Amino acid sequence: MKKFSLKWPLIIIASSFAVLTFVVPLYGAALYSFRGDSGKGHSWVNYQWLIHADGFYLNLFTSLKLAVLAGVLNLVLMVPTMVYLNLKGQNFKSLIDFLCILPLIIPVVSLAIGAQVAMPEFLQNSEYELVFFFVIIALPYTYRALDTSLQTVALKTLVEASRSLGASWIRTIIRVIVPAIRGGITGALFLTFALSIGEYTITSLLHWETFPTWTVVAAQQNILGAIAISVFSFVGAIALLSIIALFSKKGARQVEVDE
Amino acid sequence: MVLVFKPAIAGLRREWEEASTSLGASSLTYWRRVGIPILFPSFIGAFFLLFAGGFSAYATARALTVGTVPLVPIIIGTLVDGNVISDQANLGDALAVGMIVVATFAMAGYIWAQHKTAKWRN
Repeated sequence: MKKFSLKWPLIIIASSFAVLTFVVPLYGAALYSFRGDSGKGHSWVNYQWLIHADGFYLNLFTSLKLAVLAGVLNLVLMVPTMVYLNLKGQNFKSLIDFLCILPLIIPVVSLAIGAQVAMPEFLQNSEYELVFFFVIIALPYTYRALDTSLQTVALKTLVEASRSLGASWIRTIIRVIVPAIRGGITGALFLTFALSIGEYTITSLLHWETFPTWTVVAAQQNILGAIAISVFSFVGAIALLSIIALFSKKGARQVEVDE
Repeated sequence: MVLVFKPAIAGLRREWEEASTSLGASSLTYWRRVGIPILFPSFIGAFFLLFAGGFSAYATARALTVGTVPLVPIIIGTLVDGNVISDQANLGDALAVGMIVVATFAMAGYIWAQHKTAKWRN
């Protein structure tokens, strides 16, 4: 009996779909972003405009700052929670799972409008309120990333060993669990960071200015410049993510050597 | 979609494929009679999540249509902005609540599908 394999046709279909939807538009955008003055020839003119544009560094810095804060806050909140859920709180797990998927289901627009009123007043007047929104939006992804990696380690054994050697809970989490689930943590950090950097809806509805909202305004002056901005942010994001991935891999290897 | 769907694919057990092969099924038959029926609830769950995502899309819709297509999130955006029409923020709030109501249905569908999916997992 000859076995009919679906593997190769599926791989070919999936990768050509990926090329069509991601690579071709990006390649086109990159081509246009390198057009010279009045659309003739090729030059860096659009990127020069971008770097010298008003508020470029300021807003980029704001976005990076908020994204870093959101990533850190998210991990501080979610790592202990997920450890607890996987160790002792199996009963609450489906409830938390459900709570964490809510941000995917509740329209972001509704979330922005409702939650803005619910925020404490001193937060409503500072751009740091966005950090909390970013954390909420990233919850579904963080939950899954951390949950998958926690299920692959022998959590109970690790915790019992570390506790019986006299380590406190905080020490156990920082010194034992965090290195063990480094992959999941990097993934969670990536996702939060990427989401926060690109978040537009909430930021614009609450009238804050970050890199994405600045981009929209700046794009209205110079269309080729706008394309340059999107290529720049895309390439920047990819570069950033690869750097983090590289670092986390190095770290993981080091842990193995230490053992 | 990938996030919700990956655990489902990982939950497909090798034994099932082996069992169906040993009973004389080709891999096409395996997918048609075993794989796809088991994955079906996950498909439905992912569908509801995607529906909710598409229903609430704001940034993409706004960037692509420049506000010419009257989608609910964009209308809410303009109402709450108060740029074009003032004193209508309440209407925007009401529309936002309406969106949550629609999203509740999607959520119910998602929970139902999750329930069905859990049947094959232990």
